[in-house]
Amino acid sequence: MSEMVENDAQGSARARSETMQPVPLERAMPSPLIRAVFWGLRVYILAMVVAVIIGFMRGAR
Amino acid sequence: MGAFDADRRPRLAVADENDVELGTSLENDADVRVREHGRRTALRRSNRKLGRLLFLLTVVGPGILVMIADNDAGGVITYAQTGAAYGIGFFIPALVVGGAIAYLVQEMTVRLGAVTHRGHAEMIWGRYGSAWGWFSLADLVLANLLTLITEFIGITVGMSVFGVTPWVSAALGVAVDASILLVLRYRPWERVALWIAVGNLVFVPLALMAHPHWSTVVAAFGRWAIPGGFTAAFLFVVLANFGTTIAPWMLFFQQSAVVDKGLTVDEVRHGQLDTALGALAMVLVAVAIVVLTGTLVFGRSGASTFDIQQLIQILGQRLGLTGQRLFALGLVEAGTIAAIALTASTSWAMGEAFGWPRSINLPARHGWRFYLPGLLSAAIAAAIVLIPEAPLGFLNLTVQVVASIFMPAAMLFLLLLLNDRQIMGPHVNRPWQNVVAVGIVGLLVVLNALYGLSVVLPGAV
Repeated sequence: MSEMVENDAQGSARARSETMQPVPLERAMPSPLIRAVFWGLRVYILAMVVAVIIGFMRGAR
Repeated sequence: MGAFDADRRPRLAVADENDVELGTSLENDADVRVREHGRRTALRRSNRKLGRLLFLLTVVGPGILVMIADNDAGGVITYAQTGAAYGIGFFIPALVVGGAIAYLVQEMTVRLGAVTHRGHAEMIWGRYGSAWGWFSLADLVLANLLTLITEFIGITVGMSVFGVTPWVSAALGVAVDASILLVLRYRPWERVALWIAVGNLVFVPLALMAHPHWSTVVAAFGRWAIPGGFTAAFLFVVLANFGTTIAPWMLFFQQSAVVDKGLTVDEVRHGQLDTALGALAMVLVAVAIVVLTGTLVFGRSGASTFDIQQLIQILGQRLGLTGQRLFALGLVEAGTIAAIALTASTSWAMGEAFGWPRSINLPARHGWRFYLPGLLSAAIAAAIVLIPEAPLGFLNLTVQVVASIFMPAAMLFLLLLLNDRQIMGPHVNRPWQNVVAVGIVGLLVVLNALYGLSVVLPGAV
């Protein structure tokens, strides 16, 4: 009986352990819309970086 | 790297597993999570009220920590200056809206972490490639380092009220941060951090000590008026408050904490409850600080330009030594809890990006590579604060600028991941959540662009 309980507990622990496995990851293939959004993000980042550089250069003077 | 090589990261871990002790530590780490999950499940199924209460106390953690840590030293200073400059008008309702936005954003990280069992950094790296992965990681680590500097500014300023020198208070801050991270495993680490977070509530009795006109506070919700009109200075404060409400590190921290705690899909709604409780506490404390200085400082000559030392001095004059010390204690606590969260956030993100064994359950001697980046950033931040004549104001502004560049990108990746049916399955965002999230991203882009411009090009906005 105690062996059965132990086996059950081990099985339950194994099931729980399996539910905590990280999902497999593959590189996503973005749709054209998402690719356009990524380009928008690149432009935003570039604009912000340029603004920061200009601001810091003005501040340094 | 073309496609995310899922085997590359484990391979690093596997190489380390040749070290039998590390292998044992990794197994123990997994065992701890399984055991904790079993414990929570047993409590959840309990029919007794005490069991349910214990379950609630056990399941809370990442959500409350992230929200309270967001009321960091910089946040406390921003809220205090906002109340001093604008009183109890526009900002109290704005903070409530901010709290709702913070909940909507952070709730997504709970689902993402519980479903994928992967941190935010590795999700970006894995799904969108190494270029975006490196960008996110570099930005996060830099922003965390700069934010840590503001936390140590808060700690040293607060401790100076008690006559403690900056050297001693900075060293104490690093020592507390390092010792609880290195000595404690995830669960006790989380519990100790939660107890420290409770200290954030000190601002609530302080607000009561100010004897505010509650009718004014209530009226603020009905009459959402902009004090003094819509000026560039007002926009700056709005943006600072918005920037204080949601920050990039919060996404990375909560998702990694959910994974390290071992929350599963069947615990998502409890994670959401944890996040909601945290958001409520965050708003309560933020409103208390605005009410405090809005009652005691607003209306004084030059109140809009007071720095934190001047505010502490005035609070001492109005509330006495007890009030002044309580405020200083709150500032020290805010810096400490945020330093704990930021340090863990940096370590988790580095571990996820480079495939190191990454868990607070790892003993220090086996997980040193995981603990090192976070602790190093805390030590560097503490050292910078101690440099005489260090341009701390400049660094503080830089924090906001870096965050302003990063936050829309971080939000965009979060939104993409939450709509990725391949990894999220039935737990993808609902349409209304997407509408709200897109609105937040749009608002962030506009506000952060304006904020960035107002910081680097004064007069342009």
